[in-house]
Amino acid sequence: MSGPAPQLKETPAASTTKGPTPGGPGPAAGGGAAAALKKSVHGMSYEDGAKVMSTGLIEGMLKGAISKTATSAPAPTPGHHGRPRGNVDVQAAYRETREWTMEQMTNATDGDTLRATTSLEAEWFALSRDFNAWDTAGRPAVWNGKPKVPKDPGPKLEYISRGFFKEYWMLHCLQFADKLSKNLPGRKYNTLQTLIGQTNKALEHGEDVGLVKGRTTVHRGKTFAQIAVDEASNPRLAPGTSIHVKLHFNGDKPYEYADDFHHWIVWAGNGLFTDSLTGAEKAGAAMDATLQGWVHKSFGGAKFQQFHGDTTFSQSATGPGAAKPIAGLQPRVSAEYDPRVNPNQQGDGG
Amino acid sequence: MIAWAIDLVLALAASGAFSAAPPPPTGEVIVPVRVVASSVAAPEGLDTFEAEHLVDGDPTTAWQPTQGGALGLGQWVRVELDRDYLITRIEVLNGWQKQDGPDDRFCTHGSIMSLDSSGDRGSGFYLDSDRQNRLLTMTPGTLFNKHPAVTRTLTFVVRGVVPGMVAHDSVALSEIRIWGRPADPASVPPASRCLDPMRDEFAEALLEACAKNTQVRPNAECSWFRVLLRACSPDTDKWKYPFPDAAQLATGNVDYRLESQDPDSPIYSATFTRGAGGRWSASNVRCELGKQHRPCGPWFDIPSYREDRDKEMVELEVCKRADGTWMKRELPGPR
Repeated sequence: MSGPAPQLKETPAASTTKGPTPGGPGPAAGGGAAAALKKSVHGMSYEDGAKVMSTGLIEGMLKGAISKTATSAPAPTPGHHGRPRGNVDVQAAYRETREWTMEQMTNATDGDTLRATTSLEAEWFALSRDFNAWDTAGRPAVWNGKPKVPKDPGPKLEYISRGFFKEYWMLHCLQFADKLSKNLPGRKYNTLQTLIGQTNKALEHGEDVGLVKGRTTVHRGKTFAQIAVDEASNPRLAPGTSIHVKLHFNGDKPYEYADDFHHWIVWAGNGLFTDSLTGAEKAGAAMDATLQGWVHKSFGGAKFQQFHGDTTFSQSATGPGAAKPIAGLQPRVSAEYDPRVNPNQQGDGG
Repeated sequence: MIAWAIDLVLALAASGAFSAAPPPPTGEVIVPVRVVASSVAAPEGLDTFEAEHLVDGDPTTAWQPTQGGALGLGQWVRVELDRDYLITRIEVLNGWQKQDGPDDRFCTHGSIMSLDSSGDRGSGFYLDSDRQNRLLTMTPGTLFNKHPAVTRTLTFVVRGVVPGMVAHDSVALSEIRIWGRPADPASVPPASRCLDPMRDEFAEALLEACAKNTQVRPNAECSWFRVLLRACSPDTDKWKYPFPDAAQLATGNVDYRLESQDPDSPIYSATFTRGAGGRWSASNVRCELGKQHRPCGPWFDIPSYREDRDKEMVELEVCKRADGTWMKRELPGPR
């Protein structure tokens, strides 16, 4: 089994492959980062992304139009860089990954199962507590001064099963991408984690990181909407390729900065993307909106203080507190990783 | 036993526990031959809290462990049956379900938020909860309990608590009731490594270390112990975590260390020594985080994960009494 559960074997990239993911704790995350952490976790929800879309109407419409164009574009054709192309059903791999994940729900030896179920159980109790308090007050139409009243979370185990998938992968978007990649048909020469390890190793030894087979930077600096458009006219990514995004997207070292809005998203082809939090087949513009929403909600937290005094990212050069991101700030593509590229094959590595 | 059943049904009906009526249990009521607990709280007046109260058929009596300032976290109880059974249902009457004059002990005293339940082959059982958390149930064949549960012992470890509204630090359980059928020997899974007596003793040492070391809340260093107790589930029969092999156990001295590749997960270590009578004891129990070897924080698993959410304790502001009325918290206990 190759899930994200704590395992005792070493991986080539052990020091970096569990770096912070959306909502994930960085090595230095301490008590003061709690609020930021919560925001960052919640900031990755689809609803938040949708909210940002509605506030940035023009931009959203533009992205939607771009995405629509990309969605109707033909599938990538075979034959570039010797990579497998077309006929790779990322959706099926996603379904398989989802089924595998739900199987873990009763695997009590899996540390991530324990974390996820415990967290959801506590969440259920907290919701039940609020619901009961509202219930005992006679179910008033206004509660705590707001028209929003507590919602009945329903039976406990049902609640846990509903939220399990998202909770299980919450801290492990990289592992999700890796798992999805392993479930794709065809030969895999590497794992995603190995490719990251090779990248780190090349950088440590001062080697040309561009020679790492399977790693490319053809879309570096782009948004997902842009990738969708570019791939429609000039397909260069094989469906199933994992895309790493962060704010310091020019850095070759994947986890150069631990707290850097890292996320991993899988290119599904036909202008669509898949990730651990928002599910399968999401258009590029929608994925961008989600990432923007995450940054928008979490940027001011102590976890991301490295950005607060930097006007490249922040609206002001002042420190934390009311730090706000510059308009449209979002993690962008740093590199693409395709474990199905034959490392022994001649040709450019990107 | 019949009187007990009638009392139970009446009590539960009054509590509204059957608002979503669970299916009637199949099989026979199994009478345990022994109940062992990690600790027993001191009497409150005439009320005592021995583990035997869990199977005495009287929901107004209860087991209360020594809380140790840890709200009862890590405390455990093991129910032993006379043979292997195919378990068809488990019901746990949560908290202390005694109406004492105007006081509903279920509300005034603590109850379980989360109860780790496992059989003697490492299999875990998942307990569902009714709306008021008075009745916990395990039914095989459901989403969380897909596999047949064949076991001769049932171990319950307190993993999360709802502190009492008056007696804050006083978690309790009233009854454990089990239904099942004698297991066909042919259907009993073959003896696994988990059934090795030496490993059983060691597993019990893990439990005891868990209970003993959860002395000052918040502290949940025994989370890995609990995982280990299920490490030989018949569902998978895979050992994801190293369990000392027979040669190591035979030495009577085991340095035990669990380390994950996940830098945010705890690194857990302890030394287990087998003393006179074959009993193991733990020493040098440590829990550290990351390469800096920071002491484990107060949280159950990953300290920095959603710190705003207490995963081991949920405090109630209101509690529905058995008579359907609500009790509001007026005297918050010490934290």
